[in-house]
Amino acid sequence: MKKIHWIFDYFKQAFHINRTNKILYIPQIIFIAVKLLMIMGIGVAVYTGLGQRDFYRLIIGDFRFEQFFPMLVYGGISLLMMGLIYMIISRIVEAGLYNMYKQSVMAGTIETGAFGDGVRKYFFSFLLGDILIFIAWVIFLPFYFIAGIVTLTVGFAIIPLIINIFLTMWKVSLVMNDSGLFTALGDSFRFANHYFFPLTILQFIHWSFVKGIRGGGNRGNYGLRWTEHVDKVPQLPFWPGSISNQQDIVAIVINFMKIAIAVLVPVVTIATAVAALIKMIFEVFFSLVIFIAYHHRFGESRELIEREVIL
Amino acid sequence: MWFDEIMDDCKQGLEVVSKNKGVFIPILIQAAINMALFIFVFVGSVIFFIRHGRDLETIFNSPENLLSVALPIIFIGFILYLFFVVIGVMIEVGSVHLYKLAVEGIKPKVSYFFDGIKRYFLKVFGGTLLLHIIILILFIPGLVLFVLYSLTIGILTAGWGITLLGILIGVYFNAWTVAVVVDDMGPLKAIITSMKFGMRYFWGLFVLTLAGIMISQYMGAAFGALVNIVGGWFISGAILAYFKLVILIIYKRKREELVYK
Repeated sequence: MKKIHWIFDYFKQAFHINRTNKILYIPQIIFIAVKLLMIMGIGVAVYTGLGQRDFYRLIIGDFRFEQFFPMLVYGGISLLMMGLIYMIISRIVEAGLYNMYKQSVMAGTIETGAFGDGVRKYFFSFLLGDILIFIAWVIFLPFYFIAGIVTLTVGFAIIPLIINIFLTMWKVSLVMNDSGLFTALGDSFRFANHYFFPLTILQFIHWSFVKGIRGGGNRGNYGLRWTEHVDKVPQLPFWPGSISNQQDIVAIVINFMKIAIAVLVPVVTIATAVAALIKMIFEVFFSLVIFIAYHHRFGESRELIEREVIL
Repeated sequence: MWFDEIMDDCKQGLEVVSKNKGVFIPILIQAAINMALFIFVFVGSVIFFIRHGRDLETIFNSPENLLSVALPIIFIGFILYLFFVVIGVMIEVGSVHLYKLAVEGIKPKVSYFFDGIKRYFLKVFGGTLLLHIIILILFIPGLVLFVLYSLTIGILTAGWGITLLGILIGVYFNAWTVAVVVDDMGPLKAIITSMKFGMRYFWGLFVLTLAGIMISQYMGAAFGALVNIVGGWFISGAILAYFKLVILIIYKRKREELVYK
């Protein structure tokens, strides 16, 4: 239980580091701005697509699938490219930010160029590590499903929790020790094995703020989710001899959809911005706590950062 | 620094609950009662609709038949409401009394729980009914404002605006039962003291209330749907009990400034 008490001291320390190093928020604010531009871009693309003659012809059935296929491929590739760009930018921001966290925890201040140094040193390791973990998940997926079903769905929630706890410290270890990827992964597992209980409590508190029911990153992905529903047009019955009426109805429906998108895009953009900014505050705070916890090792570290707080 | 003080209070709270795990028993019993009643009402409603679903059309077409069904439902609803309020108030006053004694270093006992109920039940019951009457009076305008707020701020903030409302209510009203038990206040004075407490120490109570809401909601759901249905009540109850104990610790630390200034 004593080790858990240290969590509150880490919260105190992180709070004060936060107050004196507001520069920590800048990379994430820029990243949020990029995300918002992507959402607006998708919205504008959908709005423009709805106004295309080809889309209208597709709805009224005057368009063969073979003619529509290139558009579909183009749209799919565009979304895939956006996803890849998003993933790369997020890893760049993360790498730079982790170096800033390291400096703020170890030295109390952040040097100019810390972000760039972090990106240079850690971007590829972070990207490779995440890809490896993703591949491991794909390989492990059948066993995960079996374990989940055998445990009456409890395993579906608990297994990812436990794995994420063991993977908590790999990026922190990589940055703090300037070590290699596999050394960092091993260190993360050893750390979690040694400090499982206090680390679990810390991570549950962390995740309750970041993955909580309200707001959170999942809700921030509005831009990608709602577009799934935008292209659903009601199926209209075909009346022979009244095609012009059906065409008018389709045109009206498409116009309504365009108005809905024109309203939804700014609303979704604002909602995403607010949710992302709130999540950012929690994420920066808890990332600092995790760095402090790694360095301090819940009271077992030989090097303790003695930080006098100037009130 | 207010944040450091709150963290030290949380540490003290953790120490108290780890040495006095018995303080959670009343809350867990309440969670079990709530769960049992919820299942009873749910199963009862399902059986009712299965047996009498086809008769509903006849019932709704005739005002006399409608009254003969509606009145018993309203009566049963009122009895259930009173039952939940009475049980809730008993558990609340008994628990807060246990927290107060645990913080003072006294081991919790069953007799202390009932002692708390004997001393403070009527005050907290009166205060609870008062708050419910105020809510009832303000229900219609409040609902209209809430719907407008949800459709504007709620949507624009991706739901955080609605969470903020819950937090603000917690900040200003979470401590009134603590004030009744710690200072033996009447319900109205306790509610006003709680609001003063919220205004004076807003950010500290904001962080605590936010943490209580976020952690209790997440922990109830973190282990999957099955655990959420069976154990969610208990997990959330225990976490909210812990945060109530921390609020009691803060109140005891700050009470002289609140009560005597």
